[in-house]
Amino acid sequence: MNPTWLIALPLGFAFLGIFAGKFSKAFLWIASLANAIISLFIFNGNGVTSYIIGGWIPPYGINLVVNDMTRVFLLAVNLIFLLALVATSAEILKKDEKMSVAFMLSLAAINGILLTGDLFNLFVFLEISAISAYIMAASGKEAISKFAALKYLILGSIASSFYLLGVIVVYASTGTLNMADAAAKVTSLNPNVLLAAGLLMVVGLGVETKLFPFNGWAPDVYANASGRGSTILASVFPIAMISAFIRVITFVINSGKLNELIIVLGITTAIIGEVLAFSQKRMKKMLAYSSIAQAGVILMLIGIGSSKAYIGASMLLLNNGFGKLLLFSVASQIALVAGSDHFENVTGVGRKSPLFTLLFGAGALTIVGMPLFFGFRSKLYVISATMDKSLWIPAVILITAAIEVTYYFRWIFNLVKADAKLSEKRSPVPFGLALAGLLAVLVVIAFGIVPEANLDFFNRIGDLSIQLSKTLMGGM
Amino acid sequence: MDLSMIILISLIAAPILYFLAKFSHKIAYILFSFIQVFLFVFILLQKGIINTVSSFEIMDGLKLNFGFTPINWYFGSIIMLIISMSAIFMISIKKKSPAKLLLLSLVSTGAIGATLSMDFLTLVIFWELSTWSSLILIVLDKEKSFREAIKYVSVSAIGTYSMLYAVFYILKSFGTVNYLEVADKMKVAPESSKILIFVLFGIMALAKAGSFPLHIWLRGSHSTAPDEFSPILSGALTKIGAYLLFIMVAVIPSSSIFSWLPSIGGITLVNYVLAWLGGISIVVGTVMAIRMEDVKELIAFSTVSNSGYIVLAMALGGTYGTIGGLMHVLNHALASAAMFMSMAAVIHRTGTTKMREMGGLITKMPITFAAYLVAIISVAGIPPMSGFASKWLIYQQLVKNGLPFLAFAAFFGSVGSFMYVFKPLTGVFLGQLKPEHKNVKEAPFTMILPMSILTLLTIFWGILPSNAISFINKIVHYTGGKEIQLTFSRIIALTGQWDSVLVTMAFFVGFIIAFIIFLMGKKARQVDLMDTYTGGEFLYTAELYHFVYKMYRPFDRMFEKWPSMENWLTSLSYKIKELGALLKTLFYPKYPQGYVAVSMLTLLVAFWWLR
Amino acid sequence: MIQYFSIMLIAIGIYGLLSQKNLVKLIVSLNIMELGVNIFIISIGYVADGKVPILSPIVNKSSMNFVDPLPQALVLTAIVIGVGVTALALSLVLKVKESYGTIELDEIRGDNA
Repeated sequence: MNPTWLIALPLGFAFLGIFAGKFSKAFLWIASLANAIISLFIFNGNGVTSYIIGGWIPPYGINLVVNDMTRVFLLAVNLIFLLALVATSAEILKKDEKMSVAFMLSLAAINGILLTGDLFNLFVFLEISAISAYIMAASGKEAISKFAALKYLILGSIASSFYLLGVIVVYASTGTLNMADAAAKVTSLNPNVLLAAGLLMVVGLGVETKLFPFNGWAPDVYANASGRGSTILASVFPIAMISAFIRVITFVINSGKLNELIIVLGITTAIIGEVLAFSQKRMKKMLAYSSIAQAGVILMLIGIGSSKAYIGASMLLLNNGFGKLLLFSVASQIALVAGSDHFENVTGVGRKSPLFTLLFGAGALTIVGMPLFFGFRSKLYVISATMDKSLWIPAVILITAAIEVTYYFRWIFNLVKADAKLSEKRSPVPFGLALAGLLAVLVVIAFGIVPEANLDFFNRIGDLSIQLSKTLMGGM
Repeated sequence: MDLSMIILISLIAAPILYFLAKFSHKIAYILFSFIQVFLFVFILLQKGIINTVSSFEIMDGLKLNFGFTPINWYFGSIIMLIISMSAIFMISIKKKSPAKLLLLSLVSTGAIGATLSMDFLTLVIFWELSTWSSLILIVLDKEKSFREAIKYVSVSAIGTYSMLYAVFYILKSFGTVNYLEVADKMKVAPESSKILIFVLFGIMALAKAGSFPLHIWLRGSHSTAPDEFSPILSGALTKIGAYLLFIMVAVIPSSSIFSWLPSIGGITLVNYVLAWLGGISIVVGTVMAIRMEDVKELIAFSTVSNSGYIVLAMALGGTYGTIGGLMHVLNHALASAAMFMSMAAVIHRTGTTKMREMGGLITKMPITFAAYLVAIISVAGIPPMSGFASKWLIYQQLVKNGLPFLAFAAFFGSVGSFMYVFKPLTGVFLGQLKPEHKNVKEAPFTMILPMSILTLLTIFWGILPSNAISFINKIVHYTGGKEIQLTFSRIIALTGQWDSVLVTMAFFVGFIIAFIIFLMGKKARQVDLMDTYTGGEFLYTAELYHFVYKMYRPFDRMFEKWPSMENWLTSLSYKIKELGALLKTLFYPKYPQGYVAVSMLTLLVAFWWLR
Repeated sequence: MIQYFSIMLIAIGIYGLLSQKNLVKLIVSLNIMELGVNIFIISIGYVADGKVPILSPIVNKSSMNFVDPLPQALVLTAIVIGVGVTALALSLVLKVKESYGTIELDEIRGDNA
């Protein structure tokens, strides 16, 4: 199936949705459902396929590339997006119809980021996704969400300018914008020029992937955006952004020095994220810092760049996607029920409605990596991959993991704490949240307990990454 | 039946029981106890079988390995005995819920998987499974448990992650995680990696066994856990720590791999340090247990002290130390489970855990009393209960190695345990019956049954410790150690021999004589609690006149000024929060300029550094 | 030469972002920075004495030194995106003004803002 539909469909519906008034909400459902189905078809296949857009042969024209990594990520992104919509369907947003357009736009852009094989095309999709992300960030009820979105916008604009600058430096010195072509040509470049271009791109993509110190926007945005906005921002966006990071920084630039820098920054991100998450008093803020820490670990793995590291990184990404989908949608719903998501306010909510506890608990357990859940398996890969690189990295990762376990369990305990404060009425879990949540729980448990042989596609990602970083990006 | 099938059954039972419990609590709980008893019997019947199955690839090249060796069988049977007995005990508990059953099944699955594991990775996976489910289980009943369970979370995280690190370090260095293969490779490993692996495993074992300095979680978690879960927590789950410890010191013989280190008293430095930690743990546990007012906190500290004995014994090694330690695992599992169960039965009937609010329950709950009495005699190490034999063997080893200070710690623990176990005995069962407990009945049958079984087993192995030691001998034989000489009734050791049957007979005769004197003497008169002189004041609060109210006040005062070992975790958490506040002001300021500045600075520094 | 000029513009933009407290001025700084980037891109495609890159009957030899057309196309896209982001930013500033009553950064108060 031609993957162009994944971009064209939501983009078309977004365009129609501006004029469609009430129907735009229906368009959003149709687009995301269709995308989920299409990505399922694309998932069935292997090898590298290139799709030419506009009749120009690469490297002169833009092409879309489907490889084994993209297949997994595409399916995950579209599925999680759909689940996130279902999970937050009970939430009523201000100007809901107009907001649907932004969500459709983000879906199109995210699929574009995953698919495109062109550096400048990637910039365009990054910008579209960023614009829709700013709108999502501003969708919260509180005034503070607008300010947070503005801060995000300022940092995001700097980032995209820097990324563009990096792309232009690559173009000026290699004469191509096609990723595969550029990857082949950058090897003969002056290392300082390559480093400058790479650094500019690291800043540009670092903002979106939440690499320290470019992630200052994330806590406020995640904590204050609407339920649907924060869920999608936290679960779907990281997959696409990190995929872009992998393609550009490690496959195209592929500079050893830069990878060392990414490892250092990634570990720092993980430490700072976990330490800050430990001291948070608001649920969504805690989750935001935890997302930062997760991103740090994933980027560190990408910096290491071994086959095992890629398997670990892609597992963590998916795990983070499903886990954060659960956590953010539940946290937003709890905030609605309890009035706010402060630590004291949410005490005992889970005791009144056990389903909240189940969903939040499963999400938290998979993020911290407890056995039976997907997170544990990915944690094994993380430790194994980092151990091969250096003995210090896994030690640091495990120390931060100990902090992570402590604060996540503190929140789980807080939810089930016997407390009479909220005893007036049971707060029912909305049907959509229950449905999507239980599905996500099944997914993380299934990934946690199926034998390794059934998870072959992760191994293929590992193999692919090694091939690509050695030779060239597929899809000329 | 295949071994991995057993674990699978146990795992699949969890969600099934959960949904069944949604319809009927009673049926689900009964089914749960059937499953647990079945699992116990299955493991028990594998005696003498040695086999291994490996299935289910967890990550590339690594499979889960389960198997039966005498070691697995021994620990597996003990743990499943406690869990199955507790499962029966739970049938008549008041606070039932589907979530509890789900988590209990997972705890049991984890415990089985861990004890039947044949490699370190399988061990840590299943151990962690039982840990996280027990963590959530702890907080389900009591409000106070929230603060306490967090300590367990962080201590167990420290333990688990050090072990996980060690496992992957082993995998990277040796290419295998199988116990026996690792033991082979350890002999030729570089010295630094031997120490690293041993220390990391040691942290895990001490954390989970609840031994000093990682004992801080026991007090809160054991005491605030649901009453029916405390026996499992103390009797079963802490014993997995002993299992790892045994593997460290006996399967990977620490005495031989550290032979290049100086040795003190016949044991290598590493073992000596471990033995000291055990010794300190005995003293700390005993002192704190004496000072506790709450029954369950008291038993929790007695667990600390007894874990100390196990650590001490295992670290000493040698024939008597190893066998004594292994037997102490069995004894303490039986005794602490019986203690917690009898207290749970009392709490079930009276609804309080404060000792001074109880009293005189001996006439109301005689069987519970008997179970408790036998258990504390065993814990205190008094013949003719099984606790004596294990402590006796540990002393033998201490004497043999000539370690006076550690021997003092061990004796201190024994004497001290008289003091603390006496407190609940008098407080709860003897003394005056409280007016509000006039109508208390004996615990229901399903509670009596498991308590009685544990009690009878304690008495049986007290009279015939040679029976228990004969199969411990097999374990020691399997690991290549020296066995103890036994006859039907005698254990022959360094300083003499222990004829348990003879001693029991003597005790019995003594008991008959005492009983005759009791019958011949004047009959005791029952006096009301408030029937006393007060120097002209009225009496209102009965608690203040209770026998155990500030029972060991002078002793308490003696240890009041001791530095508390329990706060390091709390202060660590404050430090992390302070660090968090600093990082927030540095990198996550309120206004966007801050981020922009930091980002630009990083860009420039990175370019300058990498250029 | 023009490249140094564009880099100076970028630096000025960043300086503005760091020093200004007014939200609108921040956005103007952003625009200055984007302008610098755009000029940089154009400068890449510049060829001294280059011809217009259009194949026509008059200029039909591909060996002639054309000006690189691609950067111009890129800049057009970048400008459009820049306009969109600026519009969004200004509307957010309006929202901030509505809720906080000010567009000066240091006057914006709120819990943990």
